[in-house]
Amino acid sequence: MRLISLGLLAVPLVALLAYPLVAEQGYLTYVLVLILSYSIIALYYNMLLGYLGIPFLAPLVPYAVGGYTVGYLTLNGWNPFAGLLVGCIFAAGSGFAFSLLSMRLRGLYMALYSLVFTLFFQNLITRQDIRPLFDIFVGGIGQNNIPDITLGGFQWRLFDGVAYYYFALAMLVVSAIVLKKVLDSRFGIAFKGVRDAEVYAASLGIGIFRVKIVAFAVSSFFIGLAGGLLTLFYGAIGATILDTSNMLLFFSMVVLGGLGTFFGPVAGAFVMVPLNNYLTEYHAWRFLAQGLAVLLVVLIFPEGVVGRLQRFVRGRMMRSSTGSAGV
Amino acid sequence: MVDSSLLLPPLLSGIILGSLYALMAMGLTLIYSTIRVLNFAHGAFFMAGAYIVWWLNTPSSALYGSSLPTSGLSVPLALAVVPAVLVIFVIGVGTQRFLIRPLIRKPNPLITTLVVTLALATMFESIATLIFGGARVQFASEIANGDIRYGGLIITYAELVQFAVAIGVLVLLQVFLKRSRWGIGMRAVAQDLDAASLVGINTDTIYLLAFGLGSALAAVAGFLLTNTVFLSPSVGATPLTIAFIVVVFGGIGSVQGTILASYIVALVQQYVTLFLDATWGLSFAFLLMIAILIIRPQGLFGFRET
Repeated sequence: MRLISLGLLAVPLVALLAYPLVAEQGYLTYVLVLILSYSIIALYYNMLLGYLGIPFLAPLVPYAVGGYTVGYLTLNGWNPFAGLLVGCIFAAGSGFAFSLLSMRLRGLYMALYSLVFTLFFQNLITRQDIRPLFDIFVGGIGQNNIPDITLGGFQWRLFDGVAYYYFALAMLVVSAIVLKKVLDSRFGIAFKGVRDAEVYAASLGIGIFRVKIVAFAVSSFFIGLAGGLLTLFYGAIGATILDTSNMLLFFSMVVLGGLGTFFGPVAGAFVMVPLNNYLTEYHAWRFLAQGLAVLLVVLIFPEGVVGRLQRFVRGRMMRSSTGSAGV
Repeated sequence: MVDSSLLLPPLLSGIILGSLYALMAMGLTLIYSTIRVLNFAHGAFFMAGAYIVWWLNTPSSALYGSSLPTSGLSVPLALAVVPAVLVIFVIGVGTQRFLIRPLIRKPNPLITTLVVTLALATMFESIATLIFGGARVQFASEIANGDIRYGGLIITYAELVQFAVAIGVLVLLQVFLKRSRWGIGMRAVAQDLDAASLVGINTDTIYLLAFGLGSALAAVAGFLLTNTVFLSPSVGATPLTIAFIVVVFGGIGSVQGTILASYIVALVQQYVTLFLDATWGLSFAFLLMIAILIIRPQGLFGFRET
């Protein structure tokens, strides 16, 4: 079983690795970089939404913190990689701080609090009249002309950004492995306890607060990584990334793929990001199509596409195993 | 120090604005307390209701040759509200029947209904953009003309009508909830779903009614608030945010909490506007909510969720 699933994983991975060598490049490479980065976000957003069951609606905050930090540091002459690392750490710090401020909230209070927190953050960084904030975030204009990563004299944004493509792919693989490790560790087991029976988990001696704080910090770290990566790739970041439409994108990736399934959110990213980018020229029609797609998929598969698939496969396997036992 | 005569106008406008916020937020409270669902499309219903009134009311001569669609009927505002409210009521009932009901007993109802209503809001906004264009439009006339002046105070008749209608609708709603069969059923479902269905209350019908009524309140608020300002497809976003703040601040599902919080938020906004400037109003409302939730995680009058 383990071998089969590893084999199933190897196929898309090899295809992704070989893609720049065989296929013609262009806008597709650009979209793929986005898909891979958003997959990281989806994986770790799912950790909070799906595995811990926290209705957290502020994933855009660590994303923005990571992005703005990288942007600010590289604009001030830092090495982009060092900037990226610091960005991740700052993003993790923002998640840590948020979790401390929201520790006692649950259910809809958490959902609305985190949503309003995002709007407050956006409100704050677009202000022109607070000098130190404006110096860092550049108000409604946003940071522009962020220098490209250059390694051995090679500009990464050249050749449709294939270098970014491989970097994003590597980061996605690393993030997925780390997530798998976390979920298999005692923290991952505690996640399920916190989600399904918080009081019971606490009575078994699981430190609920500590588990939540660690989860927020870890997931914010990786969401910040994706934010920093994309900021370097675009060469710019602005306050519009905190818009509600962006939140719908983050949110729908996870729910469409399947809450609490490992690869579901990645599948969601592979569907929602192209839907978002290839329809850009159709303006209002794009949002109509996106909204309709989300609506239909959630109504047909409330547990997500991958979640539904898993249940189907598991049901088949159980049936076949009981069948063989009967013989 | 600010002249004391300056302190009175924000008090008045805060009370008027607070009544409108209460109207908007009460729809969310009604839906949440009975169905336990948060309707993200509430802002879209706000916007849609206002556009329907605009479409019925605006004479084509008022558009100066632009190609925006109007009915050409020039229905008076007070009459045009009725079909708008009815349409949004039906849309609300349909939302509950076809989007919420299939999800409510499945796993993760909180998150799936959030996504679905968020998607619905996006769709409404894009449909409005496709029909009416993305630009701002204005009503050809306000509900009432003229104003009252007393000393340094100016109150327009339009503001008085806004205030009177908002309070009137809220009082009617209370009477409905306290006196009518349906209203009592709604409160029973809000208190204890199982006990309510045991004594023979048809919870499915109550759910439909609650969602329809809640949405209709958004339509009324939409017309009242946009009538004196402007209208655009994204006009529902700020009132929705404020309604969220109000609802959480007062304690989700609590009627008196919602009303009290509406006035507090509106007054804070008005006085912050007076002492700093208008752009800070919303920021302070945000801060107020963040602060209150740190101290009281269930809002002012809410119960702890388990």
